[in-house]
Amino acid sequence: MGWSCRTTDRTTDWTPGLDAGRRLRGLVAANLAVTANLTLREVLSQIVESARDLLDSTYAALGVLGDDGRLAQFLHAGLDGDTAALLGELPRGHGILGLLIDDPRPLRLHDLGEHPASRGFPADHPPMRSFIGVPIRVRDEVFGNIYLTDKRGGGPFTAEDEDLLVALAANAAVAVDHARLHDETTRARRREQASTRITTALLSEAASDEVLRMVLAEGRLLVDADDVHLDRDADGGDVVVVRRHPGRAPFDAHEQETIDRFSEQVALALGRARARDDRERVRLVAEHHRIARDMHDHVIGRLVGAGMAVHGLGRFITDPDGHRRLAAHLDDLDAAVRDLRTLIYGLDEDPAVVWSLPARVAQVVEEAAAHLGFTPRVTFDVTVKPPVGSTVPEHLLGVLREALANVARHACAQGVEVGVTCGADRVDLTVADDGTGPPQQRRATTTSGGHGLTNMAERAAALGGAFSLCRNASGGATLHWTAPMDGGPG
Amino acid sequence: MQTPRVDPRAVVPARSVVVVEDDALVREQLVAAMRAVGIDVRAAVSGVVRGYDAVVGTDPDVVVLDDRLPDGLGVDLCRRLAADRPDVRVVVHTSAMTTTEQRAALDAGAVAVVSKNVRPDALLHAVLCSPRQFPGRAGAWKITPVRSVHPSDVRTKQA
Ligand SMILES: Nc1ncnc2c1ncn2[C@@H]1O[C@H](COP(=O)(O)OP(=O)(O)O)[C@@H](O)[C@H]1O
Ligand SMILES: [Mg+2]
Repeated sequence: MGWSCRTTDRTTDWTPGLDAGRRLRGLVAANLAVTANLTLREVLSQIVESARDLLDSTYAALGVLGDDGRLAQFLHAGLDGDTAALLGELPRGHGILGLLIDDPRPLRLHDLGEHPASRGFPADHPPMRSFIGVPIRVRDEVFGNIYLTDKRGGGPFTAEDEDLLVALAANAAVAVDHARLHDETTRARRREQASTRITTALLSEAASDEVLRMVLAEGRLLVDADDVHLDRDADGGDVVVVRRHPGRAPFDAHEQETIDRFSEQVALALGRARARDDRERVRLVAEHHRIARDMHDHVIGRLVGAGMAVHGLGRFITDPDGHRRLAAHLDDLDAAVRDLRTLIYGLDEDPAVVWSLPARVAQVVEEAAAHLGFTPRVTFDVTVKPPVGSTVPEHLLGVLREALANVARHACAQGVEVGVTCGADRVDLTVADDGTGPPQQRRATTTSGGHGLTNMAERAAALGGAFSLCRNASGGATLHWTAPMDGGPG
Repeated sequence: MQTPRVDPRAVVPARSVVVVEDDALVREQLVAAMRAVGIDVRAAVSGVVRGYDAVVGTDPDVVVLDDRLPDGLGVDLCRRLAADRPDVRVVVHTSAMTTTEQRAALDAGAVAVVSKNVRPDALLHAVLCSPRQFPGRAGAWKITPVRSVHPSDVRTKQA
C-alpha cells in the first residue's frame, strides 16, 4: 500500500544534527506569534509559514472550520500567486481534507492521490504526493487543520515531523486563542470609538446629510460589516441594510443588538436630514411668496399711481358729463385695485382705513368734547392688546360713545375721567363724571324712553360681561362696563 | 366699508405732513391732493432713511408712510419714530397688507393703516382725523387730550 496509516513508527526518519537547530528556531518563532499582538489572520499565516519551514515541505495550508463544519477559511503557502488565482475557489473540505475534519487526528500519507478518500485534484492544481495534517484544537474545539504536502527531497513525512507539527498545532492553538481575544478587544474598541463618533456626529452642527453619511460609514466599523446603506422596503419605509460578504460569519446575537441600536441612530440622523430638507422647502416657499408679494405690490402701486394721476386730471375737466365718465373710470380702477388686494391676500373686506384702538378711543373722546364743552381726561392702560378680529373693542367704543353722550345730556358735569384697561382676559371701561349723578329712582331709566343704558347692559350681557351705573359718594356718576376678552369673531 | 370722501372745498385747519413714498407718481399725486385741502406738506421723500431725517428735520404732525420702501419696511421706520418722535402720528399707506401685518403696524405705533386707492379721500380722512393726542405711542398710553380739531371739522359727503 502506498499510503500510511495513522499508527506511525516514531523512530524512523529521525535526522538529528544540522536540521535540529533550524527546526528548533522555527518552533521558537512560531511561539513568538503567541505573545505578539497580531490579528488572527496574521497569526494564521505565520503558523502556515512556520509549519512549511519547520517540516521542510513545498506546500502548507491551514483550514479554519466554519459553523457548518466545512472549511470557512483556507490559508496557504508555497503556491505562487498565478497558480492560486487559476485554482480560484479554495477547498471547502471534502476529500482528504474532509477526512481530517470528520476524524480530527494526525494523518500522514505517502501519496495523496492513492487514498480512497481522494477526489483528485482540480485542473491546474500542482501535483502533490506526501501529506501530513494535524488538527488545531482551541479550548477543546477543533479550530481547524494544518496541512503540509510534498516534503522536500521527495520522501514521506516522518513521525518526527508529526510530533513537531502536533507541537506546532498546540502552539498555534494558544496563538489563535490569544489573537481571537486580541481581535475581539480590537473590535470592541473600534465599536466603542465608532459609537462615540456616531453620537458626536448626531450632536454636531454639521450639515445633516453629512451627518447621515458619517453615521452610515461608522456603522461598518460598529459591527465589522462590509456594506451599510439606506434602502426602501416594499412599503416605502426606510431600512438600513447592514451586510457582510458571503462566506463571512453571520452577525451574532450581540451584533444584532448593536445593529438595532445603530438603526435607531440612523433614524435620528435621517430625521434630522429630512427636517432640514423641510426647512429648506419652507424657506423656498417663503422666498417665492416674497417675490410674488413684491410683484403684486408693484402692480398695485403702478395702478394706484396711474389712477391717481387720472384723478388729478379731473380739475381740467369742466364738462359735467366728462366728470361723470371720469368718475366711472375711477370706480373701475378702484374696483380693480380692491379686487387685486382681496384676491391676493384672501381678505374678506378691504377697509379703507384701519384705526388703532387708542386712536379710536381718542376719536370718540374728541367727538364728545364738542358736546361736553370740555375735554375728558383719558387713562388708557393696555397690558395685552385685544386679539386681531376681537369684537370687544367695537362694543367698548359703542359704550364709551353712549356714556359720554349721557354725561353731555344729563350730568351737567365739569369734568369726566375715562379709563380703559385691557388685560389678557378682560376689558374694563370706566366713565366717571362730577355732575348731578343718575336719578335716585330706578324707573327714571325706563320712563326716560332712552335706550342707552339698556344697550350698554345688552352689550355686556352678550359678551358675558357686566355693566353698572352708580352714584358717586361725592356726587356725579360712575359707569363701569366690563367684558371678557374673546379670541376673535364668532 | 364706504370710503369717506373729503370735500376739497371744506375749510380744514392746516396740518403738517411728511410723505414717505418710493413711487414718484404716487408721491406727486399725494402731495398735490394734500396741498389741495390745505395740508402743509413739509417733505416728500422716497426711503426709510430719508423719511426718518425728514421727520426729525421738519417735525410734522403726521407722517404718511408707504409700508414697503426700497431701503426697508415702513413698519420699522414707524417703530423708530414711535420711540424717537412720539408726537408724530404715523399713517401707514399700503398697497396690500394682511390683517396680521396691519396689526403689526398698529402695534408698532401707527395711528392708522390706509389702503392705497385711486382716490386720495381715505388717506386725507386718516391724516385729518388722526387724533391729535394719540395714545398709541409706545409707553405713552396715558393721554390728556386738549381741545382739538375733531372729525366733524372735516365735512364728508358721498359722491
Ligand atoms: N352720567 C349720567 N349722569 C346723570 N344721569 C345719567 C347719566 N347717565 C344716564 N343717566 C340717566 O339715565 C337715564 C337713561 O339713560 P339712557 O338709557 O341713555 O337714555 P337717554 O339718554 O335717552 O335718556 C337718563 O335719562 C339719565 O336720567
Ligand atoms: Mg342716552
